[in-house]
Order: sequence, then C-alpha cells, then structure tokens
Amino acid sequence: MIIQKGRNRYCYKSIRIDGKPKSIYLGKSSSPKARAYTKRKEEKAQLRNREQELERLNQEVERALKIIKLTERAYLLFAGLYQRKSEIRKLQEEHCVS
Amino acid sequence: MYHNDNDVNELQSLVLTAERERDSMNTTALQEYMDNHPQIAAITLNMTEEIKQKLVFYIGNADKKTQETLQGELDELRRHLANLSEKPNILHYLLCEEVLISYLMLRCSDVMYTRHHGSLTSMALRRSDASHVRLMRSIRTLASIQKLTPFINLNLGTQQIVNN
Repeated sequence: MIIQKGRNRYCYKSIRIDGKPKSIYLGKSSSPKARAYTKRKEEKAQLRNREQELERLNQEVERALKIIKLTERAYLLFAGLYQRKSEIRKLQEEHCVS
Repeated sequence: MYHNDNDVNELQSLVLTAERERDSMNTTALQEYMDNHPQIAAITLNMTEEIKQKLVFYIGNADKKTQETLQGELDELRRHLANLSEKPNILHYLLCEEVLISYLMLRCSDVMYTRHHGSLTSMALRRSDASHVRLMRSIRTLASIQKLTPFINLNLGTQQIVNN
C-alpha cells in the first residue's frame, strides 16, 4: 500500500502475523524495495486489465457466434434440413446426409 | 453489437421448437418470424464484421502492419471460402463468417499463448482448445452443407445474396 504524506509517498506491505494485520514499512516510494513493490502492483493491475479486456472480447465473440449459429439453424430449417449432433439431416427423411 | 436480447431469445425458442417438432407448422412460424424481422440477418452479418475488426485489432496489438498482414490472410481465406460456391446463398455466407471468426479466435488464443506464456490461466488454455474444436467443427459443417448445395439452393433460392 502506498500512503501519501505531504509531498512524499511511503510504501507499506500488509501481512498477517498470528491472524493480526501488520504493516511493514518498505521505505519512501523512491527506495528499491518500494519501486519493486510498485512495479509488482502495476504488473498485477495490467494482468487484471488484460484479463478483463479479453473476457469482454470473448463474451462479444461468444454472443456473435451464438446469433450466427441460430440464424444458420433457422436457414437450415427453411432449406428442409436440421443439425443434430454435428450431423446435417433432412427434415422429411430421418437419415444422416453428412 | 446486436443488443436486443428479446429478439435473440425468441429466435432461439422458435428454432429449438422447429428442430424438436420437425413439422411444417413450426417451420412456418419460424419463417414468418424471420420474414417479419428481416433486420436479423443483416445485423448478424454487420456484427460479424465488427467482431472481426476487434479481434484483428487485439491480435495485432494496435500495430498497423501486423493488422494489415492479418487482414490480408483473412481476405485470402474469405476468397477461398467464397469460391466454394458458384451461387452463394445466405446460409453459405453465414457459415463462411463462422469459419472466419473461429479462425480469428484460434489466432487470438495462439497470440495470447505467445504473448503471456508465463501468466496464462487454465481458462485461457481451455479457450484455446475450444477455439480449435470450433474451427474444425465449422469447417466440417461448411463441407457438409456444400454437399447439399443443389438441395439448399432449391429451397433457399430466393434468399441468395451477392458475396462481398
């Protein structure tokens, strides 16, 4: 955690000792430990953002594919066909044609 | 993006019923619904374009040159798929779009694997497997449909569209 006091920023690390929270002072934000801590935090935030962005994109793709699939199935039915277990079958005759 | 969930849910319900019952009454009901909602097919096709652009942008990591190269590959694949049918109908076009999106999804998961090899989640790996299966399945469906082109063209003859 980074705490701003006046013009300076100080870094602390939160841990639990015997179930009780303790803050360990890492130094000013310019110290190597604090810099490493900030870098780790930034990397975690980047990873989280990336995951969220990818999740949103995946949701959009899944939705688009679902609608495409539905429209395909509708047109297959108009053409007198339907899909069952990845096989294309004719509506009238119950035999597999794929 | 297509935001009207009611339309999608209604379409899903009609398709499921028509597939389950396999009678002319339910197929006609579905046909009437599609006739009364002609925007569905057009919006679906526009939506696929939007999704493809987003995937290309993500895979290219905002790098113009990579995006252009990928777009070139995609156009080439589209040309190959379009050449499979002399008179492409809407069904052929939708299947081609599904193949193209599945291909991009596979490329996207490959890029993710290369870019973030050390921090990949198990979910990302499962997605990668799923995208591969999806691409193979969409190609298989397209191939199955190709065998039935004369039969489909006879029934969907009025709904032929010009390929881009």
